[in-house]
Amino acid sequence: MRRAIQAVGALPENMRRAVCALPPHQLETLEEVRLRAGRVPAVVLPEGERKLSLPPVAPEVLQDIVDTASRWSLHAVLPQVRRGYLTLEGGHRLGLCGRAVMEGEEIHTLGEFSSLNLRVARQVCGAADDVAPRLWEGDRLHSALILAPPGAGKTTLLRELIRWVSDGEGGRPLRVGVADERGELAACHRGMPQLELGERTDVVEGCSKAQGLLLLLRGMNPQVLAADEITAPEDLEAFAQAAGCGAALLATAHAQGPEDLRRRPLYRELLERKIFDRLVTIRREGTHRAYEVEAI
Amino acid sequence: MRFLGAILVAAGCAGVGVHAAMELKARVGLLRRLCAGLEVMERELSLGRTPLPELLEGLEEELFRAAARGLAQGLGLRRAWDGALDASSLPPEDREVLRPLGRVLGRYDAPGQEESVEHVRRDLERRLAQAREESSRLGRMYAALGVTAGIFLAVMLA
Repeated sequence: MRRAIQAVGALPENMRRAVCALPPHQLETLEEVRLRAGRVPAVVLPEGERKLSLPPVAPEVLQDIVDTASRWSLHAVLPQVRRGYLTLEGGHRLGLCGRAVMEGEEIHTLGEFSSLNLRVARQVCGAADDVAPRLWEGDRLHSALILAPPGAGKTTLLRELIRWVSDGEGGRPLRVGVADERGELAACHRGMPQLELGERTDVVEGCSKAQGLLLLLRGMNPQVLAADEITAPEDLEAFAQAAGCGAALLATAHAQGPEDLRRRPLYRELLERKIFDRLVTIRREGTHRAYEVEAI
Repeated sequence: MRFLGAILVAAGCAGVGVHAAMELKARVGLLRRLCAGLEVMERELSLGRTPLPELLEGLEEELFRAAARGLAQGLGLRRAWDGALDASSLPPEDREVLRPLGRVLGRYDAPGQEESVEHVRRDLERRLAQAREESSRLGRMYAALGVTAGIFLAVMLA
């Protein structure tokens, strides 16, 4: 409930009041607040989208919300705006939709906002309890690649593994360097990670994973390096270089499982080069998740 | 009694003249500080990428800090900026030169904002040069006129 109330702090007074007036059990499970120009604001709950008793949203209200969320400093948050979101205090996210201003092939900025999506961030503590002990062998942490389809909880598990390793739960504490390209792991706001990543974690965000991993290797002397979603050959090269420096690696990849991974050239190369030595597969079983750890 | 009255009238007239001269001087000082503040703003925008509330708070001139306080109160940039301008001692025509910044700051990328700030600063620098010239030309004249008018009236009344 506290997380939802913190998240709606970015909205105008009338919307804040309407959301806070939801029954406590709905506030507890609030996932998103959807604002669309000319439409009545709605909240997204596990049971679906529900309209609030408010008038339709005027376009200038959307602009005001973005101005407030960016602290009237578009110049300072432009890289995020170009990717279509703003990270708010508490790790919550404001998704942006509007008119893209292009510079060549790239999005230069967004304006004339048509929709905003306020996503409430929640940290699922304990997600790594089952997996983390299986990644240690004596004093050594294995490099692990987490596999699952989108939405299965890869990022959540990776975040929890980072926290676990950094705080020394189940083993000795290690320095972890995180290349948080999309700001999803730490959700830094004014330099402070808004989601718990542990005592000994250093985060670089706003640049590509490859650049971030190399920056961490050069400057922060990490014992473990972590990044979300290996998708490009450059990521693979950066991880290979990091593995060569003796750092343990933690990363995720979109795949149904090990077999699916072996079918794709990029990941096949990843396996052949023995950059990782453990595969962690997440499987959904009803509302629960099961974790399989396999040695490569 | 008549003598005392004459002295008071003389002092009053001299005071009005000197005050007018000092106002001209104060405007020069304020415009100078504003130009310096805008120059720092341009530098910060291009190098520091500092968020606007911190940027405004860090500038010396009270007008910028008043705008930062308005932002902290949740007024929004436009209202905070307009409020700070209207509460300042700037003459209306100088305020209008600065007013567009409330619609530009924080809404564009750094080069776009820098360009606007530079444009306003150049306008303000022109007004500063004009104010300096007025202050040195008219300042002494206002003071002298005030004192002379005072003496003249005192003589007439005595």
